[in-house]
This record gives sequence, C-alpha cells and structure tokens, in this order.
Amino acid sequence: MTVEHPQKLAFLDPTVAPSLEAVSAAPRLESLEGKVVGLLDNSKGAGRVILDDLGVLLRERYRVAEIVNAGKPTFGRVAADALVDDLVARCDVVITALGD
Amino acid sequence: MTELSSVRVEADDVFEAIELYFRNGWTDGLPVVPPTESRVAEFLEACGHSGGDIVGQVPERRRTITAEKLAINAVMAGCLPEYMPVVLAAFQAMCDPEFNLHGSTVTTGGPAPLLIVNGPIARRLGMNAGVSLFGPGWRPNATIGRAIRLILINCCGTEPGVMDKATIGHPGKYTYCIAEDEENCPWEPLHAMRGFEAADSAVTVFAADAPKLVSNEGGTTPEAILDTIAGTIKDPGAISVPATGDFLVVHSPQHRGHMIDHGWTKRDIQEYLFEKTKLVEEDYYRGGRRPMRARTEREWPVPTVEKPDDFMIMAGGGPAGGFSAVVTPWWGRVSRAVTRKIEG
Repeated sequence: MTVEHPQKLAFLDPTVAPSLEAVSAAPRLESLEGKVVGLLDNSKGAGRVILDDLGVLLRERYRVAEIVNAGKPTFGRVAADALVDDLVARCDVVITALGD
Repeated sequence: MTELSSVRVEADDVFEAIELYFRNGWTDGLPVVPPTESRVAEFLEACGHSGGDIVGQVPERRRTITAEKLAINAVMAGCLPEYMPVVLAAFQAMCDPEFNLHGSTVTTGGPAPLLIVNGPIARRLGMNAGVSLFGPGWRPNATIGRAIRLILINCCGTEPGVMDKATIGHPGKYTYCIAEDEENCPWEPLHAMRGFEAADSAVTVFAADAPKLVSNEGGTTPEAILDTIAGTIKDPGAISVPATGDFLVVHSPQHRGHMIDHGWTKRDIQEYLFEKTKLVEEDYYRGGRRPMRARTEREWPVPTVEKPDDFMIMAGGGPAGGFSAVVTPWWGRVSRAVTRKIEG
C-alpha cells in the first residue's frame, strides 16, 4: 500500500555557519637572510625544544639576523591580540610549534 | 509569531526527518525531535527572546549564536519550553571568556560542561537532585544537558572528531546536568556561596571530567570522610592536579549528615580540604607521572586549588549509601567555573 503525502513537512536547520572573510596570504619572503624571525611556542611540553633547535639552524643555514622568542602563557587559549600585534611589529616572519 | 530565519528542510514525515538530521550530522548520535517552526516559536516565547536576538559568540570560531538557534537545538534535545531559561543562562555562562568554551571543547583532555542548577527553578521544573544524581530518568536534567551538547555541535562547530579532539572523553558529553538538593540540606546553596541570592535561580557551568565515586561507608566523622575525599582529589592521574582550578564535591545525605551532626558548614569543609589536599613532591610523582616539562622551580607543598572557595561543595544524591563524588576540572585556571543568574 502506498501512502500519499499531499504535503511535505518543514523543519528548521539547527546549524550556525562561521562568518568568514576572504583574506590573502602575506607576501612570501624571497630569502630569510638578514630577516627577523619570531619563534612562537604554544607552551606544550617540547615546543620550545623544537624551536630552539630551529633557531640555531635558521642562523647557521639561512643567515637570519635575529630570532625573537615568544610563548603563549597556555596552550589552552588562542594567542592574545597583544602578543600577535607585538610579533607582527617586530618580525618579518613567525614560526609556531606545538610539541608534546 | 516571531519570524524565523533558519533554512527550512523538508521531509515526508517525522521518521524521515529524524534520518535526515542524522545524515546531515546534526545529532549527537541519538535521534532528535524534529524542530518545527511553531514549536521553536513556543520556546522563544518561553525565554522572552526574538529569534534574531544574539545570545552568545565564539570569537575563536567566528560564530554568532541567536536565540532561534538555541531554541531549535533545545527542541531537538527533547526539552520543554519552560526549560529554555536554563539552557539560555547556561550557554551565556559558557560564552564568558573565563569559561573558555573554545579551549575546553577542542582539547584532547575531553571534559564536558557540567551544569549545576540552583534555586526555585530547579524544583519548579522537577529537576533531580537526589537518587541516581548523575543517572538517567529525569527529563529536565537529561534534555537540558543534551541541548547544550547539541548547541556545541550545531552552533559552535564542535563536531566530534573534527573540532572536538577528546582522546578519551566521557559519557557526560551526551548530557551532564544536575541540581543541588537544597530542600534536604541546611547548608548554604552553591549559587549563594558564589555571590547570588539564595532566592535567585542560577546555573553554574564547569568544564569537568567524569564524576569519581568516593566510598566511605564506615566513616562517621567529617575528618574520616573528608580524608578519603582528599585522597581522591589528589589523584596524580587527574589532568588538573596540581594546575589549580575548581573542584566539585557532592555530598550524599549519609555523608553530609555526619558532617552536619558535627556542626560543620560548607566553609569548614572547604578549609579542611584545602589543607588536606596540598601536594608534596612524592604525591605528585607517585604512580609514575612525569611533568610535561621540567618544573625545577616548584616549591612543595603545592595547594591543589588557589583558595578554599575553589572547592565547590554541594548536596546531592540518594538517601542510602556512604558515598560522595569528586568532579575534577579540565585544566585548572585555563577554564573556570562560571555562575549565571537564570532569568524568568
């Protein structure tokens, strides 16, 4: 037996979409030579270990002029605006690491 | 009727709608009540909001949540309209930066927001504060907690396994909502200890691990019972020990009866636990636990919480049994318990 459905039932979508805005990537650097590189540790156990080693390699192999070390106070929150603004003002490029 | 702006989806009947919500990833793994426009409008009326009213934001995820979306998810969870003020206040408390909604719902640590409801609304809605406190069987407890999970999934982008990266998690992530047994206890209720009037209704949200049962059937003094509880709080495997934060301690009628007989108040319990849960180095390292990074500068003993008030003490549970429960926090100070008044 077929059941007739004269009319569809309507229900509501429960989701909220993120409000996204298109942003373009920052211009890529041609070279790291003579640049200031920020190394942002997310404060997990071994992030600083990775970044310290990376800092040495960046100086030796790529002749980076200066390393700016920074860290989030906790990995449980996103980086505060003030920290991000400070790194933007001081650095040509920033590398971040999470190391458990 | 309020104008509702959500996209409409169509189905031939309710059963097909339930399957459609599964296919779209809009459930917690259990069937939902398909939300119709008229039912959602009733829910909005019950909390005095228009559909477009903004009730919360999750800035890290660029999401702005309206009352309409809250109501839709509360309908889906199986709530009644009169539960809406609790759902609303709980969600708004979770949007307080102190609670850290984003961090506490993405973490591998896998906590769930525990809702503790106080005041007249708990009794008016028939919320369970007694036997089988954390268990099934009471609609407001079950569905208000579930509404919060559906809101996290559908409105805040907390898709299990995608944004929600809990390694283990716990069953409270389906629903985790209790009330304090204010009727059967002379102690000051939790919300009053946290700055509200006892006559107010309020909800406390707490990014929490699963409850741990603390058994001490033979103890008849506050010290004996609280020493056992202190041992559970100092569990070296608890994620937050000793990062400090809030702990919840639930005392059943049998346990709290002994404490009340000895004239102890919640403040006395807080002070006692504060002293008894200070960690010495061997507490921390027993069981093989190692810190995530060298903590050479730590001075022992280390208090488990910053101050005695950070032990949230509440009355709850069934009449028989020498049990209490300890609920440990997710990650100490990174997420704090937040209490908010329930309007209406």
